[in-house]
Parts: sequence; C-alpha cells; structure tokens
Amino acid sequence: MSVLHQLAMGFQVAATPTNLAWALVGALIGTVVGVLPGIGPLGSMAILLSYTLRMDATTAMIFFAGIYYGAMYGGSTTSILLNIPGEAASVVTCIDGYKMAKKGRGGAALTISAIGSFVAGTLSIVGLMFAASFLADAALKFGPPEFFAMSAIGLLFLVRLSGGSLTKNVIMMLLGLALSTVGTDRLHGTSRFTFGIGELGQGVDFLPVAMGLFGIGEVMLTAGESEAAGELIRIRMRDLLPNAEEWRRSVAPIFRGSFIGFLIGLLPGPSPVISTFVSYLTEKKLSKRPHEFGEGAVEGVAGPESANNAAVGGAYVPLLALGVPFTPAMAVVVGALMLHGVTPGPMMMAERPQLFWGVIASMYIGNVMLLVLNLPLVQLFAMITKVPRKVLLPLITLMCLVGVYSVSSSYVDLYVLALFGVVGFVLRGLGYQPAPLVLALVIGPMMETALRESLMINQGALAPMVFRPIAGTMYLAAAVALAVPAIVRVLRRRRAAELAV
Amino acid sequence: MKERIVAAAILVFALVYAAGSLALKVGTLAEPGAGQFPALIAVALLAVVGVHAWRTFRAPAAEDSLRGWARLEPAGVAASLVIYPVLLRTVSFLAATLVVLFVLFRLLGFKRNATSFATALVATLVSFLVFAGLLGVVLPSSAVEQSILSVLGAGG
Repeated sequence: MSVLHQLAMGFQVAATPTNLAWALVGALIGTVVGVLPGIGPLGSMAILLSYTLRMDATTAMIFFAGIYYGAMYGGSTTSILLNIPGEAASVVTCIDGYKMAKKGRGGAALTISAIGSFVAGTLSIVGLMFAASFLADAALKFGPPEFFAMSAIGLLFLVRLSGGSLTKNVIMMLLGLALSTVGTDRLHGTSRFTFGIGELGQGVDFLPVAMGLFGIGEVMLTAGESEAAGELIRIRMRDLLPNAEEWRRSVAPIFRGSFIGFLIGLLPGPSPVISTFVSYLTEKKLSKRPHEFGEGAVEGVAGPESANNAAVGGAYVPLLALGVPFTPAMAVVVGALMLHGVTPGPMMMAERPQLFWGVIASMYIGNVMLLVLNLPLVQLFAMITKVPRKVLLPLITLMCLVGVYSVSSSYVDLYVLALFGVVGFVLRGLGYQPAPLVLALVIGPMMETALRESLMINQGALAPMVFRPIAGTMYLAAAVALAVPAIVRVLRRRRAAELAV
Repeated sequence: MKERIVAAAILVFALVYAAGSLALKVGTLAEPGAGQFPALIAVALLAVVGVHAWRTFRAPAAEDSLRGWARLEPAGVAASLVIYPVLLRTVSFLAATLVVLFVLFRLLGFKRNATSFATALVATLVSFLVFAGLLGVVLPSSAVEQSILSVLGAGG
C-alpha cells in the first residue's frame, strides 16, 4: 500500500465521531494548559494518562497529540497578550509578541503565530509521515546492540540539552535508571529492591512518578507564591488581520522555523523549547532589521512559533519509528501505549497500521481544529489565566490523586505519588531537572534488556557491540555532536584570549 | 545548606543502592546476572554523586535557610497527600476527598471555612460523578456512594 493509501485509511480512523471528539477535547485541553503558566503539556499529559485507560489505544494517542499541539498554540496567546509564557516553548514569543501587542499589533501577532503554527504543524506531519516510514524500515535491521546504543545516546543527549547543571542532570538520569531496576528481574525472576512490598514486584510505575514530579511538584512549588499579575491586552476581531508588510515579512521565517523545528524535534531533549531559541537567533541573524528584534519584530514571533509546533511532529518520529521516546512528553505517550498493551517501535507500522496512520491523520485534523478554534476564541483563552490559583491547585492535586488511584487501585501508588511530589518539590527547587529521571525510568528496562541480550549474543565481548556498522555510526555521530560544541567553545575562548593580548 | 542536605541524601541513596545491587547476583559479562545492570548504575551513581557532594561541601555554604521547605503551604500539601490513602482505606472516597480538598482549599487561599467547604463539596461530588459514574472507575465506597450510584443507575 502506498503512503497516500495508508494516509487515507488513517483519515477513516481519525474521522470517526469518537476520535474527532477526543481530538477536539485534547486540542482544547492543550490550549488551556498552554495558556496556564506552570503545568504545561507534559504535566497535563501525565495527569490525564489514567483517563485514557477507558479509550482504545488509537483514541488515546489522538487525544495526546491534540494536547501536545494545543499547548504549543495556547502558549503563544498569553505570551503575546500578557507577557506571561504559558509554557517554556513560548518564552521567546514574549520578547517581540508582547511588544507588538503594546504597539496595537497584538491581533496580527496572534494571527501570524496561529498561521505559522498551522503551516509548521502540517509540514512537520508530512515530514513525520515520510521520516517515520523510512526509519521504521531501517529499524527492522536493528539488533539489541543498536537499541542499546540508541537508548544510551538518547539519554546522553537529553542530559546535555535539558539545561541547568550537567552534573545534576546526570544524577537525575542515573536515579531514573536505578528506579527502573526495582521489581522482578525479567530474565531470572529475582526480586530487586522490593523490600518485601508485593506491589513493587511489578516495578515502580511510571505514572505516579511522573505525576508526582511534574504535577504535585509544581503544585507545591507554586503554592504560597504570589500570583503573576499581567495586564491583559484586549483584541477585537478586526484587529486580527495582519497587514501586507507583516505577511510579507513572516512567510520566510515560518518556513525556516518549520524546517528548524522539525530537525531539532528529531533530537533528544526539550526540542520545542530549544527550537524556538534557535529559530529566533537565526531570524535575527538573517534579518535586514536586526535592531527591531526585541522591539516588536514580527519575524521574532513567526519563526519561533512555527518552530515549536514543527518540533512536536519531529519528536514523534523516533517514538513511532523506533519505539524510543526522546522527550519526556513522548515518554508519557509511551506510558499510554503500554497501558493499552501496545509496544511502540518499527513493527507498529506493520502490525497496527490503523493506530499509526490514524494518529498521523488526526494531527492534520487537529491542526485545522486548532486554527479554527484559536483565533475567534483567543480572548476567552487569555481570560483563563485569571482563574485564581487557590482554585486551580487543589483541583490539580485532586486530579493527580484520583488519576493515579483509578489506574491501579493501589494505595502504594498513592504513596509513591506523595513521595515523588515531595522529591519533585525539593529537587526542582534546587535546579535538578525531572525530565532525565522520568525518561530514564521509561527507557531503563529496554536498555537493560538490550544490554544483556547484546552481551549474551557476543559472549561477553564489548567490541562487537560498539563496532557493528549501525551502532558504531550512531556512537560516532553522537560523539561528534557532543564534542563539537565543546571544541568550538574552547577555540572561541582561545581566540578571544589571543585578541585580548 | 539545602544543596548540602540533598547531595548527602542522594549519596546515602547511592550507597544503599550499591549495597543492594551487590547483594544480587552480578554474574559475568557473558552471563549477566540480575544485579549486573544495577551494579553498573550504582558505580556510575556513586562516582557522579561523590564528586558532586565533594564539590558541594567544599564550596562555601549558601545563605539559604530551610524555611522554604517548611513553608506551611507545601508542607500542608505533602501532609494531605500522605493522609489521603489512609483516609481512603479507612473511610470512603467521598469522605476522604472532601476532607483533603477542604484542607487544601483552606490552606491555599480561601479565607473562610464556609467557602472552602462548599467548594470542596462541589469538587468532590463532581469528581465522583465523573470517575465512578461516567468513567466507571471502582472507588472505595460506603453506603453513600452506593446509593448515589444506584440513583444514577451506574452500579449497585
């Protein structure tokens, strides 16, 4: 079957009333969490993970895709109208978006942002479609050494790109890997670190850990802080239309942002956030009016807003094609798939084509929904930021508690949630990023299995694991990618020192 | 101060984890045992945390106090989370959720008990209707929950 035939089948799956309804609900929830500072798409997906249990796997994936895209759309609204980024990927939009709004061009900024997000989202889905098909075919040649290489490299990149202290990120990753070893060993049936608690025999569940670190941790960090007050700039419908000059200046940044976002989305790490910074810097460098950046340049909105949406499509590629989540949000998606008994990976496209192509088709539909929803309702979404924290925080806590309990009916999981809530509060307050821990917890079992199988196949020899053509190329590429920035930094410093002399 | 406490706590965790992993069968490279992967992680964790703790303790202690951790609001949220499973096990969903939500609303902003109670009651009932009624989740029930579900025709 050709790609177009498969996509047509995907549209049949995605266009059922149930899936359309959940795509809409996901897009709406995503927009709301994108608008609200704090929780973000990752936290909300973790909180809502348990709610997907009653859906089938395809619907759950469509719902999550809607949330992820919606959050990218929603995040720009408050950045532009309130100067408060709803989530990290919209921080850059504050710089020029809010300045545009102050000059009375907020409506135009919102429209450019929505159109850019739509174009980028759509282009990245086209990219996802072809890249995932290609990669999934290639991944059929992967053996345990390649899967081990990929997971290890994925974690290393995440640690490098997560921001903050590198040492703290490594510690969080190792803690995540350590947690992933709790439970009954699959190969030998030995109990590991269960301390006689029967429920831990199944391992530490990903859901209460993610909900605790992101959901409860956020509630505890935010509790007691004063609310961010911003002046909400009002937009009328007629203000939404950009002028000819703004359109002209936005076209190239939208396409460049889409390209940059998709490429960065393929890499492990918080790709939507990184892509916005790269896009902003690129636009500033290429602009004939760099002095306007920071003062309300429309390119500073068009590029980054396109990039963060395109990164979402890119982030789905390694997950759908290889079964390896490279971002924490994708780890939640893996969690949802596993709850439904689906193992993501190269075989998914062949074994569950409805799921694979249904999700892809739903992304096209979701993008159209978001475009239609966002512009007319922009003022309404912006007003959501006015919901007081004293109402929001207890409700988020309630959702986490009931959400965790409803999945497993386990009291132990509720204690795990409480424990990781406190851990998240303490560690995040000191700059420890929770993402490497969560991702390592999800990838850990796969890494361990791949490592053991590789060692047994090669009778304990390490060299054949590293020097196989595909695995070796992966290690080499990763080494170059990780080393080059450091080398460039050293060279720049030397040059600066020489110039100073 | 906080940095030092956390570094020390992670170091203790790493030591306990290392001891636990060595107690398992590590095996050989050709025949890996259940403890091999944990042992590898333990070695890496001990090395990184060791260096981190050494650096943290060598650096001049930061002026931060422990007050941030002991603030009433986060401490109250943590306490509610610990109490919730106990209440859920001993009473039922509605009572446990109402108590915890009331405490949270009171703690996180509402000045008046009546407002906190009313909001908690509405949120509790809505969450019960959504989870037990709509989504069919089995929640710890008493006679009250059972009768609500009977009225809804969602269970007995």
